[in-house]
Amino acid sequence: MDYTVHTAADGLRVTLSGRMTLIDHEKFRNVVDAIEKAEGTVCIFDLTRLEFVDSSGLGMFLIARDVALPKKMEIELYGAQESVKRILQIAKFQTLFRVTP
Amino acid sequence: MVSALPQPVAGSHPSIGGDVPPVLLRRLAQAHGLVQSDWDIEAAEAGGLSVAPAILVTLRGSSRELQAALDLGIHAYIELGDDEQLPAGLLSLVTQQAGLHLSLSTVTSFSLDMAPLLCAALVARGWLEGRRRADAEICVHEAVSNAIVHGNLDIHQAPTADGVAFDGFYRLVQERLTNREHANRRVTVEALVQPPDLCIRITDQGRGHPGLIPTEIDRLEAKSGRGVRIMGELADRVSFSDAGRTVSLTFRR
Repeated sequence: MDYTVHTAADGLRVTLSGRMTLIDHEKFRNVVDAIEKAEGTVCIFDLTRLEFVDSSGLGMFLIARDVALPKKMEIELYGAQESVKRILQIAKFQTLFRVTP
Repeated sequence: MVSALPQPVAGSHPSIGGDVPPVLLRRLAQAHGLVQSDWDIEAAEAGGLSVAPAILVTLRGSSRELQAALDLGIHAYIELGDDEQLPAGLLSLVTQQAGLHLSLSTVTSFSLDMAPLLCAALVARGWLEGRRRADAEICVHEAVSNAIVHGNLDIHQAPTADGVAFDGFYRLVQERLTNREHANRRVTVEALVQPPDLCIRITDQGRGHPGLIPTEIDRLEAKSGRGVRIMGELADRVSFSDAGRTVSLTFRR
């Protein structure tokens, strides 16, 4: 998995690409640290170039949510490809995150 | 693609090759009545191998070699353990045309992304429909992850609580991967065409577990525990055997 983090006026934009699995845990920790330090009301994860996410990857999104919620920051999962979207649906992530479109 | 490539020698005397010491290859060939076959990864990638071995053995598995071997239509890719023996039951599988056997150490299985390579090969061989590839890939990936972490690395506590628990869990995984006893245990993946189904079996050498398939995720916010649930949702059938050490995934063809 590769990632980029950009600060926006209303929060953060995080772009993920490639395959997101347990092996990416330390990399994703950097993303979580960026959320912890960020100001704003929304963190948008751009998933349009994310090809694969496994159950460990789902756990990492939930860790990001745990950090964002006390800061009153909402997490949006944007543009997931069909195969990734199916995994998000099985995990019922639409009840925990804003999943768009 | 595969039909244009050299096909492995199967049948009653399958062939064996690999980038291992010649004396070891000769001993394995003689012990199992196998025909020795050339293997050179550069030649394989360049399309320069006239005959691919049915069984490819290696001392340290790699994505590159597995990819080249699967593209050539091999029946088995075996990372030899300290005992330098072929897995029991391997020969009966490789004499069938529609079977594939991968056997890797835990440490190699962790570093090598096996599921996408395997599923691409299964589609290329016509054993798995292209539209089921994504389903099979996530199921195999989750099953291999469970075999590594909860099976061979003997880690049974799940990092459900929070990020700190997840950090601790990941540190424990890394620590166990450096432990020779855990790291050398095998993860075995077998794909068998059993018309009208494709059955993929993933086996570890851990102490097993109850093998229950949750119908619901207990807590939506839990940081782990979704792997078997995902398998149950996307495979046509999931079953456990050998005290939970083997999970069988069935996909209707």
